[in-house]
Amino acid sequence: MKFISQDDITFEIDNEVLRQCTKICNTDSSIVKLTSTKSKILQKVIQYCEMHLNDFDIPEIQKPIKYQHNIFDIVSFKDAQFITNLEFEEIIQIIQAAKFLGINTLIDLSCAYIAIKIRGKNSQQVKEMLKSNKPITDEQEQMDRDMEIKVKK
Amino acid sequence: MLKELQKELDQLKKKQQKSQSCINDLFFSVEDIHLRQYRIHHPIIPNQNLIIKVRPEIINLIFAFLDYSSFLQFRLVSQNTNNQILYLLSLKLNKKLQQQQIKKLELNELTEVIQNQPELVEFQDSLLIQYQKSLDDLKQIKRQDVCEVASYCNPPYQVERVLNLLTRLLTQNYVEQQNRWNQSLRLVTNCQFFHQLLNFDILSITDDKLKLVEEITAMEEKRVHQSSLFAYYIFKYIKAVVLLRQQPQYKTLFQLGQMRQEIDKLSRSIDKLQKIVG
Repeated sequence: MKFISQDDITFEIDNEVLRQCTKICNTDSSIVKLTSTKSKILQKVIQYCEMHLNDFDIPEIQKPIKYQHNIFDIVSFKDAQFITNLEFEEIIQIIQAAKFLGINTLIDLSCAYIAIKIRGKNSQQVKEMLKSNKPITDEQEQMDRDMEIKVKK
Repeated sequence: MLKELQKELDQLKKKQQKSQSCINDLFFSVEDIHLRQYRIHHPIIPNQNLIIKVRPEIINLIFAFLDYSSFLQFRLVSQNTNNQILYLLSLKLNKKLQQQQIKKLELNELTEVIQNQPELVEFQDSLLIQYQKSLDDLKQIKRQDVCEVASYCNPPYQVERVLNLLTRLLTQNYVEQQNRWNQSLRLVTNCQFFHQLLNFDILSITDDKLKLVEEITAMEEKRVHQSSLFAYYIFKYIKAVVLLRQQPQYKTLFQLGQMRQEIDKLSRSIDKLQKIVG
């Protein structure tokens, strides 16, 4: 199957890797256009799927997370390492991509990590944490707007 | 004369400087105008808060992993998040109301079943109330009470007996040891003790285990009360559990009790949510 990202980069993926994508794996189409996902994010999502190529049963994360637990206590080491190496902005985009593809384990992992980061912080600290690192220029904004119009069409 | 002239000259110089600065303020240089124009046409938007980008359903997914206090703390982040959280809370409220309705229907069905069995109707209320009261009493036990009992070298007979029966009840494959008191203390001083006690499932009591703890009904309530309050609460709990388990239809009765508890819990959380949502 081929995935085409927002910036027109094509990724060819084996069907076995796609097993985690519950919404895509049973479709007949050979090309999936992800108009709202950038290639960098799509690459990370594919990396996650490849990481779990041989895992048939990934244990569910308990809800709500206990106060004394950190991410390394609740998920496997490789998952924890994968998620802690990402930036917040990337994680949020990954959740959106994973939701589109139906990778529930990745959604849970990302949401749990954000929840752990938010937990116990006051509003000011949360605000600081969720601030985007990159200032948005008007060109980028225009690009986003164009993309939205393209998607709506 | 010269001094006066010098003074006047200074004043004139100052005036000239002032007027020059006023003229400078009135007009921008070409470079300045260009810069200002560029800034107007190419504004630098301050760092965006990521929360604006996140869809409410994703926030909902994140909140599923959080407890209520962290959840509500998020309301203070921005007006946008406050609105989102109020919306999510109202969704939760609706879900809980639906759950409550379903539970009430199930409870009604179960009550109808019980009413068809006269022997159950006779006991159900008194037994369930007794069980519920004993559970409420257990919640009153403080750490100090446990420490007090744990400090006994030669415990009173009643206390030792009650704690031994409790050990029999809570230990999965009970094997009596020589030093029964130490065996009981190990259970009571365990950090998981209260959790284990409050979440004990009556349905897990086998007939053999019931025989092991049935002695509790022969013990005198007054004597236990006199020896220790902690032991008294435990005694009441074990007695309620044994009486409930002795009934032939104990499964139905226990289900009924649990259902009532769940409905109470749901209505309490619904009240809280209604207060928050307003």
